[in-house]
Amino acid sequence: MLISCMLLLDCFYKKNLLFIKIITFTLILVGCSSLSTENKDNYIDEQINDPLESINKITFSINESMDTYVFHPLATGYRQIVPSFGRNLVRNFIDNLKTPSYFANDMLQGNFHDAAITLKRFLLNTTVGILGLIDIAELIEIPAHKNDFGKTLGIWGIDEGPYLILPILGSSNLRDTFGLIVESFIDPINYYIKNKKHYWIYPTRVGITGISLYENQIDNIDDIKSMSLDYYSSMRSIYQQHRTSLINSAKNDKKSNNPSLNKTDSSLFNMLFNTGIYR
Amino acid sequence: MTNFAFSRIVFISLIALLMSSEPGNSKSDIEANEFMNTLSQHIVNIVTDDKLSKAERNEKYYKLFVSSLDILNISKFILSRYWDIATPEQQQEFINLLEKITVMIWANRFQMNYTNESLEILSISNEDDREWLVDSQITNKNNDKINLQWKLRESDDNSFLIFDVLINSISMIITQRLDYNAIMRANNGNIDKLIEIMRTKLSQLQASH
Repeated sequence: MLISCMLLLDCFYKKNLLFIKIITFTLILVGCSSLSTENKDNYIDEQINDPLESINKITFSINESMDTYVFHPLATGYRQIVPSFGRNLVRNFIDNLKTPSYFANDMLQGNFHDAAITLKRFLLNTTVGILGLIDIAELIEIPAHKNDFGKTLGIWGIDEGPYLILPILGSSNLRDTFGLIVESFIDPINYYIKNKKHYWIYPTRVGITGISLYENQIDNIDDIKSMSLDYYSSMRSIYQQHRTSLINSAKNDKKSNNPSLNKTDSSLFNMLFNTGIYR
Repeated sequence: MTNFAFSRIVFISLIALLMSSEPGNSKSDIEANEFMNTLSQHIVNIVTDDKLSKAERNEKYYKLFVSSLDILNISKFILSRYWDIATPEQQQEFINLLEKITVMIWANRFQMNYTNESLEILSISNEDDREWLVDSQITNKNNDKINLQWKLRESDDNSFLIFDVLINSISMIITQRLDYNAIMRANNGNIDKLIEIMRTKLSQLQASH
């Protein structure tokens, strides 16, 4: 907090508007995260952390309608028209564009080992892999990993804040939403679009990325939907478990300095079971 | 008996006592490994047998999982605080329905993700006196690696039972617990309402799978 205030003062003097916004958001985020911790006490035995549930459910049902009538048919059509090989090329290309963001977050997390791998992958795939269409790095066993600013904030100790459902994008939380916003500012592709005024690239990229990601997960989404009694609660639980596990795994890797599989976040499980709350 | 002989007897007895007081489990990591390999091979056999009809496949999964699941403790975990207020009849009905639904969920997910390659067991750790955590990996049909963690328990009759499966760190029983508890909260803790919803869900699953 103190460092944020000092940076804020420095930015005022230098009139650096972008950084003023980022630091202001960070201060708000830290404040809201601590508020959500108080709300979380009411749900402590269930780790739900969803004080905005009624609003989230409205957004969720709107998203569901768009899924049913727009995204699911588009993703299904995309799967039927484009063969698996073609879909892989698209996925690789999109992922390669995000590699600068992965690299930046690896560095911010102090994970220089992963940062080096990310840089190697980007250089190889962009050159030999023809602008990332072919994942050459994976073929020679330089493993891929994803990263994001929300995860970085989590590793820095920022609490997740309340669960949120974003329009179209779906499950998130306050911290990860802020992470998305920051990433949109620092994405080099967005800078290129603004500088060259090629604004058509932005919706095209968003559209293709969305359809590609959705198609890749369509079977899992359908599976969760069909198996759940309460789809909203299942998705919330899965999202929260997934994000917690990613961040804890990264923290554990930092401590042990040993890349490992994502280990279970057993804190929720143990708390629920060992305190007898399962009864 | 001389002092020297007595000292030797005491010394040997102490050694024997220390060795016997090691956390000696009736089951070992090797047995847990064998259990997982056997289970995995059964799953692969079902997944890759193209001659099976849907009904036959579901029947095989049911027989395989129903004997492997620690369904009583899973039921208690999922129903959580509502278990104690349920009548014995409600508890039994809940267990029956949960067993069928859980087996269908697991069968469907394994059918989606398993190929002809068996599970690769990466590590086994003894979490507690009678609990094991098995870390494993499979490569699915899209060539993605999926991490599976299995929580095993030793049952009263000395066999292994599965308490939970975590797919890429997502716990299936935690997800089910929060799912079912949301239904209970929405229905003011009415267990009969939950059971009714579970019956409807099971019918839907049986019709579509």
